[in-house]
Amino acid sequence: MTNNRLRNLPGYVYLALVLIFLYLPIALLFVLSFNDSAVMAFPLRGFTWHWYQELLGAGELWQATRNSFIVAFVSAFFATLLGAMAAFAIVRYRFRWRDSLLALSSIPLVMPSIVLGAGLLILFRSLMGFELSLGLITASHILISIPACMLIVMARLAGFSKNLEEAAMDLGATPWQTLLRVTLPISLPALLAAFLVAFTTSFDEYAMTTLITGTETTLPVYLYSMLRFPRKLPIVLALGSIIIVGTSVIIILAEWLRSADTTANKNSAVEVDR
Amino acid sequence: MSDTIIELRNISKQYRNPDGGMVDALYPADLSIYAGEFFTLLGPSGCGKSTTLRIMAGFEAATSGDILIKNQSMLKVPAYHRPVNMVFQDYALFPHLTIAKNVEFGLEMKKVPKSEREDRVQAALDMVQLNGLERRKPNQLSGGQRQRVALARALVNEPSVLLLDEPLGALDLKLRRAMQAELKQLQQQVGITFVYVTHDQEEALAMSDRIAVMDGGRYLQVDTPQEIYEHPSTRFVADFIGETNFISATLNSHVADLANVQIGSQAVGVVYRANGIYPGDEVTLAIRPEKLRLEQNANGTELPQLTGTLEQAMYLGTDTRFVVRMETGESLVVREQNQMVNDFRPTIGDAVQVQFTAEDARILTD
Repeated sequence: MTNNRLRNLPGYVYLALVLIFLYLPIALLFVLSFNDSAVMAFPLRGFTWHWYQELLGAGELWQATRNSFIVAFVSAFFATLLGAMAAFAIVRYRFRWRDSLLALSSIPLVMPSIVLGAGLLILFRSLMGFELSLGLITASHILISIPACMLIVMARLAGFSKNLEEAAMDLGATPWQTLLRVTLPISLPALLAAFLVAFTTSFDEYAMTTLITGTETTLPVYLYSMLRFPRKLPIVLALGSIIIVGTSVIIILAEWLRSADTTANKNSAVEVDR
Repeated sequence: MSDTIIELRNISKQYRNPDGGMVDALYPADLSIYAGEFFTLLGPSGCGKSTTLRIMAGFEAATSGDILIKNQSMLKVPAYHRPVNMVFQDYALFPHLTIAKNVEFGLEMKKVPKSEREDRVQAALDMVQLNGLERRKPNQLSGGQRQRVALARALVNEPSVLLLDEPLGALDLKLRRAMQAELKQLQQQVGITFVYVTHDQEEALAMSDRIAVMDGGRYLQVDTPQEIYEHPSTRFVADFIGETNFISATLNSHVADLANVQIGSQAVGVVYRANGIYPGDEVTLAIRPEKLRLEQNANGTELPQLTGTLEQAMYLGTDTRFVVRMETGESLVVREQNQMVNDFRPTIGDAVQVQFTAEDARILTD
């Protein structure tokens, strides 16, 4: 037993290093957000809720947060809808440009968002003459979230036998009833997971958004602009801490939803035959 | 057994290949299925049996022809309005619904009143002996239980015809044998026409009232299991159903019902009732291994017999499987039941006579 532990020691050390490397910066953020000093440095000066209190009174910041939530919600909704529709088409039908469509729609996933942002800026301003607005930011976020949504729904549909839909129709369900009673309920976990991933993608997106920001903007862009005011930096840390907690909860929830169904299928089949 | 319940008129099906060419999945043909019968579509994979079933269910449109169920054309009737229900090979139970809800689904779609629905669901679950599992989800059941749920879910709708697409394919052999007997009994009990798709010839023989043997998109023979086994119409049918010896022969003469064929140096007489063969024709003699008998020497019998050397003997419990090499070089498989006394037990290398009755050999011309 001890022998085993010893042999695994390098593994444990490695694991510890990885975890420290990953989470120390986040932990520092938390700690400093409660530090009673505008200067972000050690040693700590004592505990305070001050920055969180000041956060409550920061109107512009709340405006940006509200914008972020609206943009994230709307873009996640449409990205999930469009991504799911594309996923259905690709998984269910064999059509001519299927592989090309799959490759094409995955490109935003690997394209640097700063490049995409520059392209969108040129398109919106120079070609189409739009005023930059939250609507355009939302549209851009839909664009970058579609590939992830599509891939998540595709993964779920791949394990979803077409027979289920045929069975529903065989039992008298019209195509609409089949969609509502069978297809949607079965793909719901994937749709929710896709929605949450799209939501967080939008909520965190900075590089592209900053390029197409007009008068109103989202939280990450606003936060970055606030870095110019060192005295307000701890407020950013306080908000950052809240966002990290919120985002983690959402991601954990998404992962749980995604796996809930697969594990349900695995611990199945109690072999009790009569 | 006289009313036709499903009638295929000149039904054919073509698919477009990925490379643009057309593939014939079904050649134009007619097929009638009678009310109350257990009808089996039997053939190797890709023979068109599942396509036929899917055309009946309404999941695929035929390229040509018409399909009638209870004398009504189904060409413009979508799957969800057809008076048929299907049992899928993978059962296709709805994973998000309980067993009771799965069975209730069809009744709900047809807007059957709630109280009647509950009674019928109970009755259907009783019929397949699954009462008590109503609240389980499909993934909490064993393969055999899921199979029963699939049956109950289809039968609860009281369809005119039940379509079964290799429903026992996913079960292990022992459970499959048990379910075969049960399915057959269930069919007789409910009196619904079953159209059953399988590639397992033993299953087809055991369960069916009639069998359509299919290959390459064609119905080769449509008849009772006994007729198909005893009087296969083509070499494929004889080969696919059970084990058959094929012996190359030349026709010497064909007088009345008796044909005389030459096999190597031996001439034997066999019964052939059809016409269209002439002396000198190359034909194939088909005979089942269990219709052959091994004898030590030509004991002055009138029966047709062939001379050979015993090459192999395999003891299989109820019977023994012998392989005899004939002087022409072709080999024959002989199956003899293991009776207790006075059985002729040749050893490998012995010269033996293989006897049969003239009625049991078939002449095939394809």
